[in-house]
Amino acid sequence: MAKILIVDDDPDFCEATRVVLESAGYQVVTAPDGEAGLRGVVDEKPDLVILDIIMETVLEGLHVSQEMANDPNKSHIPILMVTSIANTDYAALFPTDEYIHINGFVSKPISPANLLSRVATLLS
Amino acid sequence: MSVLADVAVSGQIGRRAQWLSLLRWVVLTLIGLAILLGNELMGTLLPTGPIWGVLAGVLLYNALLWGLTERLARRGVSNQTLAGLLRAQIIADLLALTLLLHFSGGMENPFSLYYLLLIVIGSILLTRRDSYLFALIASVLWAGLLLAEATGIVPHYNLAGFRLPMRHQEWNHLIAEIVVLTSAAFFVSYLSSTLIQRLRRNERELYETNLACELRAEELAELNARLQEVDHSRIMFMRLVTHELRAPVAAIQSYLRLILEGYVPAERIEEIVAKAEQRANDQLALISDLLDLAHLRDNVHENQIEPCDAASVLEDVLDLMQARIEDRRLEKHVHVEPGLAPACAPAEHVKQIWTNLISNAIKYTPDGGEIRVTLSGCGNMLRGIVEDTGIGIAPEDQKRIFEQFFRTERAKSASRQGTGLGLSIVQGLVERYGGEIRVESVVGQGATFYFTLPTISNEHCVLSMSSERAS
Repeated sequence: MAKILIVDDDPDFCEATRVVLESAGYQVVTAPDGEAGLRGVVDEKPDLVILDIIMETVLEGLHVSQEMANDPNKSHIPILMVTSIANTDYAALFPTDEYIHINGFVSKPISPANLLSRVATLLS
Repeated sequence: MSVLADVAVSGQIGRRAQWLSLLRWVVLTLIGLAILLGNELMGTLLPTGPIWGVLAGVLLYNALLWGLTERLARRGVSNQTLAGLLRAQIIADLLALTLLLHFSGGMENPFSLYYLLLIVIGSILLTRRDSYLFALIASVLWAGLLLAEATGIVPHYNLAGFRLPMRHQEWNHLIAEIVVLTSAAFFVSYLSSTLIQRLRRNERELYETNLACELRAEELAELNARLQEVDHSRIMFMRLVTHELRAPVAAIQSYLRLILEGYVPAERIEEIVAKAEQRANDQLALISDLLDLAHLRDNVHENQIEPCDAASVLEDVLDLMQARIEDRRLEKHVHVEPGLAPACAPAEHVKQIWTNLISNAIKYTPDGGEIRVTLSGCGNMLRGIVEDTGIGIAPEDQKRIFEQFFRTERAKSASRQGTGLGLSIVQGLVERYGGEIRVESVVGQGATFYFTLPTISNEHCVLSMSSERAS
């Protein structure tokens, strides 16, 4: 079964996402920040990365996705970006004028059915 | 006088010296023309040879001096040396004038008044003392010349047809000449040097005022930059708070949805609900911190303060913290002086102060470290000390830790939890009741927070805490 890496500094979000994904039989690993996330990509070789945009620093997740895009060993791994920034002040910070290396968005709080269908699509 | 003002003045000395040389060219030209014209109109009355000789001497040193002072000033020669050079020039001019007067009739020549002009010039260029020096030299030269001519030590050249030949030996007149010129010389030096000093003082004041204005402008620019920074961090803070307030709700909502939609196996439901509840508690703590912070701005009315026993409040707080302290295997030392007067602050707020300081000490001290809490009296104040052996606070951060939402990088990496509001609240509370708070710390060795609170007997007591840390 596919392995999924969750990068989020909120342990409860990691846990909730893990419960949903494990219920569908996926193998789940987590990382608490961008740096650990990039290490996890190398060490765990996940089939998919679920990435939070805002961690310790604003838009840290975006930085991780760009790092992955620039590395040929990582750029093939699909990224599902998780965000709670829609309709907040942060939305203004989000770069809209440049290409963002992500394959999809889901928003917080998670809707389990939606999350599973997005994951299944990206992995197929 | 400040160093900067000195520099300005040395630039002036160069300009003044140049002005003196220029003046000298004009005077030399005029005297030359006067002699030529005089000879033309009245025939040769005087020994023109020596007069031309004196003029040539003046011309020579003036040519040598042209632009010299300015060059020296640029090369960084001291002001004293430059002033000495100017002084020597004026003295040379006085000598030259005396010689010219001698060869053109001595006492009979009304141009002796020109001594006064040289004294005025000297006052403008140099100090008051120099001005009196020139008055003295002029008087001595003039009196010396008149007496030498009267007694025949040097010859007298009569301005034939212009003055009576024997006038230079009329003693009453001679003494009157000397007295008039001497008194006039000193009077002129007093007047002109007073005037010029006042002008220079004004100039210096103006210069210093300008300088102060420039400094003030710099200060304002700095303040403005700081205000912008504060504004920026306030906006960033609002974003952060929005995010921090949303995140726990989103987490709780996610958990609930998982349970409702049947994703959580029955045996894990209790665990997940407990996590959701913990998250709700964290959220409440943040909201109550934010409220406390807002309440700090409320006005406090003296008669509404209900005093409390700070020692028993401390005991309660430590009881609540005991589990965390044991969890982290921290060594706890508590020392409370018996029989302390009640604190002039409500129990609720004293509790907040102790809670915030002690929970920080626990949070930022590695497992197995030490925490020391002391409460003692100090005159009419109570003094609390919370000391730990934790990560410590860098000197540049020690002032900022009391700022709202500020957390040091070390604190952030040591513990994710923390709103950055705790110490702002503590400081606000302590100061609200007339106490003070400060911190001492060595990075990697720990931090010590000292605070004071007034007892009911008095509200104001000077802190004398600095010697504490050493013991």
